[in-house]
Amino acid sequence: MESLLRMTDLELLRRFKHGDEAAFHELVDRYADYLYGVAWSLVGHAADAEDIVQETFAGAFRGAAGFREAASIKTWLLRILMRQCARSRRSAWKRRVFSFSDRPESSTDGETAAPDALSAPPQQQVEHRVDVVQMLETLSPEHREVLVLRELEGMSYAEIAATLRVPQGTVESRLYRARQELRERFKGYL
Amino acid sequence: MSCEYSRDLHAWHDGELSDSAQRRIEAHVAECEQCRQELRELQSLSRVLAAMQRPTMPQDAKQRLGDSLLIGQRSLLRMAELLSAAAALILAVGLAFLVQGRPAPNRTSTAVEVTAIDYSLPDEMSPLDGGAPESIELAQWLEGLPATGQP
Repeated sequence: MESLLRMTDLELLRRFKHGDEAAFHELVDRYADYLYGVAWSLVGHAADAEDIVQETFAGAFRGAAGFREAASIKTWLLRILMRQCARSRRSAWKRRVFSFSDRPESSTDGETAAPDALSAPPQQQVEHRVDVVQMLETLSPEHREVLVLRELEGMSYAEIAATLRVPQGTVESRLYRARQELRERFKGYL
Repeated sequence: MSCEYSRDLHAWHDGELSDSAQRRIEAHVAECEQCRQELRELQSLSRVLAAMQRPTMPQDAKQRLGDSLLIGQRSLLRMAELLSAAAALILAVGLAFLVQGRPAPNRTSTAVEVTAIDYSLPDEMSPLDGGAPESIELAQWLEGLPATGQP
């Protein structure tokens, strides 16, 4: 087990392809929190985020044999996660539950919801007044995902394009429009 | 109304401009108050988003994740077993058809052969010996058959 901890992601996946399931579980341990954080940012709901992560790993488990090692394991998992998010959105659309109701208790960003909180305190405290999750919720899923990947994951345009399998120009324009929408909607609070 | 440099400003903010484009936008921003304001808002937005605290996966959710993967593995194994069993069954049925598909032996000659067999008991063995009474009964019954094999 200790040797698994020292292995790179790629080594773990190769071992898994040769039948070592413990190696896959090590990958799960490494990426569960990260993927959960991304999923939560995108769907804003703990139960949905959990389902998405579960489906992501199940997809990776089934598709490991087809992984060609052209991308990093992290990018590969993220790519699967983005697809699962899109699938989840489609079913959520039917259920119409994007309540964003169960935010983490540790969050300090959720005290006040903008734009309902437009009568809230001065501008210098904006980071602590704006409900970031609700802010993201105002965006379309396509705009939300590029913004999350850029601002929260710190990915370059090229990396985002590769993850979402869209042209780099599309990433750039979606990101631009997402920010312009937020600037417009939260004018005076940014 | 945004400045015509607005898109470049965003790319610059993201560190995605070439050196020459970067110099161009820097020179422009120095002169354009609208772009300076937009840049301040972009920086503020980035700070707000970066400050967002995201939860880690709860321990019980991790446990469920591990369990679900185990169940997934088991169901894959079970499916492999079922497929193997189905393949074996198909093979067996196929073989059975092949065997049955051979030309049937001549029934008339079989009847003749049956009637030609000597089913009489050896001298040293009587029906009361108890060795195989049903065989003896069968032999006696067969002895009574006509040559066509019909009872």
